Amino acid sequence: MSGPLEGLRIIEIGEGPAVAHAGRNLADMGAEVVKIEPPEGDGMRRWPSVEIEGAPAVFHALNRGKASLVLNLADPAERKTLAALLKAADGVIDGSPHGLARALAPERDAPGLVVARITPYGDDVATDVPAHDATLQAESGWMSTNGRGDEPAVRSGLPMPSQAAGASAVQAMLAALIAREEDGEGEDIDVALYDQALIISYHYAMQFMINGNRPLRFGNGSPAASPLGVFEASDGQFQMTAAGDRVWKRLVENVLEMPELLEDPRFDGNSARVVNVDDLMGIIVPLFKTQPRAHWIAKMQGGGVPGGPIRNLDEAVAAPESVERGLVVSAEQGGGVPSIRNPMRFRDTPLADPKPGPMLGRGGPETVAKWSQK
Amino acid sequence: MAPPLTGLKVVDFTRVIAGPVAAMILSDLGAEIVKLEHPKGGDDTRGYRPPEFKGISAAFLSYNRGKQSVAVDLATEAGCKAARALVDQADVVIENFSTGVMAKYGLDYESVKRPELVYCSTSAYGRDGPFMKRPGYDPVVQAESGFQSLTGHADSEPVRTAIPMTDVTTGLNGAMAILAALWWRKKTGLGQFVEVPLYDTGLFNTAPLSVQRMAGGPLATRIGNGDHWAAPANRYVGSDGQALVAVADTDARFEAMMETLELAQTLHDVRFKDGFGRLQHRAELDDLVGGAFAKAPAADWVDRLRTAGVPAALVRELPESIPSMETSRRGVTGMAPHSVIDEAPELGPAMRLKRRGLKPAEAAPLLGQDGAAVLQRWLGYGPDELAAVGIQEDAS
Repeated sequence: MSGPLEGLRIIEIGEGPAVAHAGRNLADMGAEVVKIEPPEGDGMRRWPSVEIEGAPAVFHALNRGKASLVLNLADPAERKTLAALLKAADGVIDGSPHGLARALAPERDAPGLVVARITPYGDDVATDVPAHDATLQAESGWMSTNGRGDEPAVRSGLPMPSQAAGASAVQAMLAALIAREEDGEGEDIDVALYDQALIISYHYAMQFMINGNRPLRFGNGSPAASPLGVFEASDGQFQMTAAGDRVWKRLVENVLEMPELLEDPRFDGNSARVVNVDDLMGIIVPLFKTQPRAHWIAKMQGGGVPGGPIRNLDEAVAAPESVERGLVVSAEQGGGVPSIRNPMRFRDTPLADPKPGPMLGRGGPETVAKWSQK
Repeated sequence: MAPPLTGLKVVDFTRVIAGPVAAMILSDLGAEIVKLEHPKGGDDTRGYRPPEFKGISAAFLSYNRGKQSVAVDLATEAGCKAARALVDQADVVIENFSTGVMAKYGLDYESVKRPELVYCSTSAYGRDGPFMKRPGYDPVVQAESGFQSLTGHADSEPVRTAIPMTDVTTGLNGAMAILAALWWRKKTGLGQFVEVPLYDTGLFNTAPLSVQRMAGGPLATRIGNGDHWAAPANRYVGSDGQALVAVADTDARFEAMMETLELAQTLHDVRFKDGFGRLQHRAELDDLVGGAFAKAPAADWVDRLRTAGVPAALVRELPESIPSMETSRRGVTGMAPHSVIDEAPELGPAMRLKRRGLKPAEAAPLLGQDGAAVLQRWLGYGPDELAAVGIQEDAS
């Protein structure tokens, strides 16, 4: 058993993190995923990232568990190979610029194939404007929501719009495959990275659509509640969210241990705490600096105040929440490459341990042979 | 043809953002969603206002498109019984309460399971294990998972994403997991318990950089608008003060960017000969190209770079992007019909299905607006049974 999608045959075409993320999720859930690569390999193989087991670590992270098939698609014979493979597949994630999957396997030849296109601006938009997750974060306005008000907007360091677009493609593909079981009809799915980047602005976008006001950036703070945000302990930073009167009372009694603050009119009610936030910070900021962050976090967790350490990646990977729950996969467990376990858990069809990403051309020919058997 | 999940019945106990995102996607794909809410105030996001549109908060509108709202108090016998009866009719149940809450009402998986039921918990730190009781909050998990350490300007504090992306991606994963379980059910007839913990999603989101670190690479941290795998790639400012983002993520794009910026001499600099070298000398490159960008208006540079095949875009805020051609030509935003308030603003969905289509969008419901209709249609409730759960029979 390798997961709920065992037996599903998926082809992945195209570059970039959205396509790779979609294929990785399908592979993690047990699908057989063949990544089509040009003779020089997927572009991500040349990203500047430490090499392990013959590929950059970031390539493994986004391509684990897939097979790799090298095809020179300028060669008509190799295009035929792909066309035949498409007819044997259940689904294809197609991030190629002009829709290679349907060009090689039109609906009349492959009526049951589910094609999920992931493109920068939409499958129906004729444009060759080049795009990257960062330019889409900027252009969509999503980036403008992130960062402090007194600093320029800041992008997410991870390609979140691409990741979300990959998830959207997988969702649509699985739904289409479920429906296909009834009538044999395939599907053509269209996910645009630009749309996805705008859509993940959710309630910020909705606010503007309702009141026409330019949304402001608040960094770690909030215009509507206090005290919350990032605070300094004696040995590092932590996040605390003490919004609302109930949590304020817990903060004062269980964490700050300053019950007199409950009698202070400057802090009586959330609105008062928002107005007098500078006075409030003048009291709690110096206090927090007197103890290490573990001290405050223990008090917050025990006292019912949401808060946690701001961890760097080393700390996060080594944290008890990660280690004791088996989320971190060592190189030994992961076929030579360390990994983070997929967060999706299936009680009766558990996911297999993550495998490395494929060496260029590894596993693909075997898959072609297997798929051509029937 | 009908949307792919037409006929699928989902009972949704979720609140706030992660669970509601998952249920909204199932709704877009054609499922019927019955969202159970507490009669006093309902989903927390209903209270996140202003702003609101005709009584529905912006936040609630954003995460609850296409759902039906039924208000029942699970703490009452009649309310709990109605919820259980709905669950007994469902193909899919989704919940995101703290561990133990669904069990208290006899609505946890063990209590309600049937062979064909798919039951999804979007939990905080897992429904078992040493942290099962700890509540989950997006800002806390952004901090704990290392995700927040990767966002922000280098000389300032790490910032969380304003939209709670750990919540959102937990919801996206929840929808994927439910659909994969439904695929398995289609093949075998068997449903199962699926779970997507918030913390696990937060840590997984960091995988491209944390795996790189575990493999012996550098400890990634926040680098403002820089990129972890490309340089030059940053936010730059044109002569008109307008900001743009441009990315040279391949050798070819680096060459094209340098030629466009009339910095071709840098192509002979051995420091910049490959991606590793350019990443290592990111600061020098940013100085060089930043100086060049300051010589012409940002929009001119975006045009020139795009023509040369280099990803580039103006940094826009939502008041610019929402009315823009890129948004309007695809109809991403608009108004959706609403059965009580006529219509409300709509954003999304992110996918199109050319053959089967999606369920026509209906804007998020008022609290309890569908109670009588759903309980009559799903359970055959009459006036007395409706009254027992505090719902009035529809005038219609």
